[in-house]
Amino acid sequence: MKANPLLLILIVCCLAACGSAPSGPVPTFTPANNAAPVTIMPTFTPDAECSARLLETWIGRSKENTRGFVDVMNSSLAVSPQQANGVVTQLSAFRGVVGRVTIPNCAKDESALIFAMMDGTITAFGDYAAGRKKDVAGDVVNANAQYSQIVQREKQLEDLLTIKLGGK
Amino acid sequence: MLILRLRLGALRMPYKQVFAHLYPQADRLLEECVSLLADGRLNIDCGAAEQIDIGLTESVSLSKVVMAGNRAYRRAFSPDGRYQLELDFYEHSGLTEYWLIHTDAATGRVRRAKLNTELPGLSLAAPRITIAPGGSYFIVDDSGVLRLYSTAHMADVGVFQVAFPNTENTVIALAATPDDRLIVALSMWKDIVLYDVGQRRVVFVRQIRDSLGWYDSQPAHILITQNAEAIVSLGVSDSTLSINIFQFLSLI
Repeated sequence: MKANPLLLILIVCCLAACGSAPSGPVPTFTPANNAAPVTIMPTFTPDAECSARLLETWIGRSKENTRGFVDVMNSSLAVSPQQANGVVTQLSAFRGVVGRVTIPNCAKDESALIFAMMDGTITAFGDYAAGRKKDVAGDVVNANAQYSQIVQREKQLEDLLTIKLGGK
Repeated sequence: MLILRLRLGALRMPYKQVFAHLYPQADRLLEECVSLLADGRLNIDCGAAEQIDIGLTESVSLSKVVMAGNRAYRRAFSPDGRYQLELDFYEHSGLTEYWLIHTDAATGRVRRAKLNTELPGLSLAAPRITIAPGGSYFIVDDSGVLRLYSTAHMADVGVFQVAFPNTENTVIALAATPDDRLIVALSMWKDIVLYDVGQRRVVFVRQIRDSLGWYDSQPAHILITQNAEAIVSLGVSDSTLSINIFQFLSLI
C-alpha cells in the first residue's frame, strides 16, 4: 500500500503540536539587581559655561595679548625708572584687553595664572618706577617661568577646543 | 632635556657662580681660552690652565658666537643664500631712521620693517644684523633690544632686551646653540641674558660682579653649553680679562 504524502505531513504536524514542553531550564534574560538603568540622552546638550564659541574667543584674545605682554616685558629688562611708567602703560593695555574677555568656566585656571603673572609684573614695574625696587630683572625672569605654565594650559585648552569642534 | 626645562621653569635663579678670575690680558684670542674636555670639564687656558667641573660627564656641543665687539653687522644671509636681511637707513630732520630689508632671492619678494632706533646723524651705534648658527632666524640688535625674525618669512619669533638704549651700553657678545634653541648675550655693563627661543622666554639674567669697571666693547666673548648647563663670559677692562662661569644649579 502506498502512503499518502499529505496524510504523512498531517501526522507529523499533529505530533509536533502535541509534544510536551522541554524539561530543562529555559534561558531567559534576568537583569542584575545592582545594574544601573541605562539612560540614553536623546540629544547632545552643549556645555553652556564652556561653549566652543566662548572658548575660541578666549583662547584667541588671551593668547595674542599675553604674548604681547610678555614681549613688552622682555623688551624692558633694562629700562630706566623714568621709562618704566611707559612700560606700565603698555602692559596695562594688554591686561585691560584680556580682562574684558568673557572667561569660560573651563579656562578659569588659566585665566587666574595669566592675571597673576600680569598683575605681579605691572606691580613690579610700578614699584621700580616709584623707586621702591632696584630693578625688575628677577621679576621678569619669574614672570617668564609663569608664562611657560600658561602656554602649557593654553595647549590643553586648544586640544579641548579641537574636540568640541569635532576634530581629533 | 625635559627635566632641564622643568627645572628652569621651577627656579627663579637657577645658576650659581662657580668660577671668577682676573688675568692680565694675553695676546691670545678670547675664543681660544675656553674649551670643553672629553670628560665634560671646562678647560680655561688664558695663562695658567684650569679645569672646571660644570656637572657634565661628557663633552657636548658649545654655542657659536654670532656677534662680538662693536663691528658693524649690516647684512646677513641664510645658509643656502636664498634669504638676505640688510640694514638700510634714511636721514631726515637731523635724525636717522633704520629699516630692515628682507629679500627672497628665489621669488624676488622684498619685505621692510622699521626699527625703533633713531639716532641723531649717522652713528656708529647703528643697529646690527646677524643670523643664528642653524640659520632658522635672523637676530637684529635694535639699540640693545634683540629682535628675532624667522629666516624665510621674517615673522617675529622673539624679542628681549640686553642693553639700555641711548647710553654707551651695547651688546658686546652674542652666541647661540647650534640647534638655535638658546641665545646668550653679554652687555658692556656686564649683564648676561639667557633666552629660550622655542619658549619665547627669558630664562636667566645676572649682572657680573667683579672688581673691574664696565667692559670694553672688544674683545668680548660668551658661550653656553648645549642645554645651558653652564654659561661662560669673558670681558676685558683696562687690559684685564675677567672670566666668569655660571653653572646650572640642580636642586632635584
